[in-house]
Amino acid sequence: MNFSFKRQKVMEKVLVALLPALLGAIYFFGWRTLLVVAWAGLWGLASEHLMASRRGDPATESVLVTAVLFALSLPPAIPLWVVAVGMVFAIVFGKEVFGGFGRNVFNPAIVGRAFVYISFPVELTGSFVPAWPGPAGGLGKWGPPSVIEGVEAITAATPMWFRRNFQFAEGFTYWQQLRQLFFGSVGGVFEGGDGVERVLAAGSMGEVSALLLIVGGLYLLISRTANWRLVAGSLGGATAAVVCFRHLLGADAVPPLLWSLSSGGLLYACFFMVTDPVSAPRKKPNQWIYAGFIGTMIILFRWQSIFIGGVGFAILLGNGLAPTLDLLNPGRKNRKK
Amino acid sequence: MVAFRQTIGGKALIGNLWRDNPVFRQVLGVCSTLAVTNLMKNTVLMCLGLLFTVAFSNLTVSLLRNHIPRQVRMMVQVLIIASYVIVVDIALRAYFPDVHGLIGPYVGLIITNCIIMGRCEAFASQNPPWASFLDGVGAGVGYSLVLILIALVREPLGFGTLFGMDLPGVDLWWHQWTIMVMPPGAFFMLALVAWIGVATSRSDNDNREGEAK
Repeated sequence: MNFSFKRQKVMEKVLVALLPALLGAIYFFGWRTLLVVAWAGLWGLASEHLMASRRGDPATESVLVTAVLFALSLPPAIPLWVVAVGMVFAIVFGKEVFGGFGRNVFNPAIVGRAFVYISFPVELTGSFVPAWPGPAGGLGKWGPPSVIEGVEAITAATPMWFRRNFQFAEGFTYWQQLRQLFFGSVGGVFEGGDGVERVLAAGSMGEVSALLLIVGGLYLLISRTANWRLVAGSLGGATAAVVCFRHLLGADAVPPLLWSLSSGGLLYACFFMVTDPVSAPRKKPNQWIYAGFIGTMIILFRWQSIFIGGVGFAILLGNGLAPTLDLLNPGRKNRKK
Repeated sequence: MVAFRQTIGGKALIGNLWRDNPVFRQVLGVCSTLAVTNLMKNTVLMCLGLLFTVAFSNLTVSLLRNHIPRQVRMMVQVLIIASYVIVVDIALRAYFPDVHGLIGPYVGLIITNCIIMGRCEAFASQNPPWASFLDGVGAGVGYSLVLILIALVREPLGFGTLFGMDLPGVDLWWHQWTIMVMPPGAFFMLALVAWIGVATSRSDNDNREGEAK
């Protein structure tokens, strides 16, 4: 069997930009994180090779980006078989059935993530783990700290559960929570609005630290790998939605702006997923609409939907919208014809 | 056997099984394919109901084909199909009331299953009774093959059972695939089965030059 592999410079830059988040995930949750990422990469490469070689195409480096994005969006204690199933599904159904790299409608990593999220709710959201405490973090450890069992104790995918009972135990101020979200050392105990003690725990390995995501994201923007319109549009859309829902409509269930932006997968999505050039619209005005729509929907989903993490579904919806936007609003060049 | 294959009915029967399969080749009857395939028992009963309806509707339409005025033939066909569907519905209600509770609405909807109407209109209204009956059996079995393939994956993954019985050692290794219980699971499974089906069958309608790339 011939294994052909196509390197893609842009994708290499995205991989570099993901390094801070990856290192952060290892620091917070131990070295098993690395195994999960490598395992996802292995399954991704294998399925891409199997499908693409039938067409005579090489496997592309983008599959590694998909694998890292997918792996880092999973909870720290994820069973390896779930990783494999999700990755194969992401590549085969998210990408290869449409004809491989550059032809997919949806972002494959999100397709895989949404599939495992819906298929395996117990494995994905039944247990949440805090980060390793202390300055050495999880560097000397293999896996994440002991799992907190039970949906009753903790009820969310990412540190954002308490949007519906927005209240901390004494000793944990808003700024302390925000600091945990920013640096990623989640694990603080707090009391929910219903009187049950909860722990600020991670739902996804790569999303816990806003700081690391911003570092990677800035690299993408400065190296012009990512389209700044898409990042600005989605962050702007989310900001507008928070201002609108919380401050104009007075919905207390929507957390304050900084909290909303730095919790869950929002930054992760805005920097690494909305900016996927394949599934975004091509025309500039459409990119603004597309990104703004996703940002708004993330906040709306978090506020109103059954599923707690709204990011994945918001992006899938946006992906579905993208080709229509380009068709309806083809821009000046095409109109002249 | 060779002689049977070359009769009109034999050709229709065998073609409908896989090569011109009603579900993945003609893309008919997809609605019920999605609706009833999460439990094997429901699936098999649904398949039997459809098989009965399509075979006997075809037979009846064919017998009456020279007596039905062309202008009202569709209405007559629907009436014929409806009477067989009512028979199926009553039988199911009498002998499998629990299953009827689950798939009852879809049994009534067999009447709108495009496979039946399609076979009556396309085949039975122009061919002799025996050939039409065989054509109906072929379409019913072809439909059943696809549904059973889908249910064979959905029930074990979604419920850990097969025909309602636990899989061996289910507590040790089994994890629920919630999506397989829900309609999206059926969409993905149908896509997979259609993929395999189209790849392994070659219909006369295919543009062969287009495929041989």
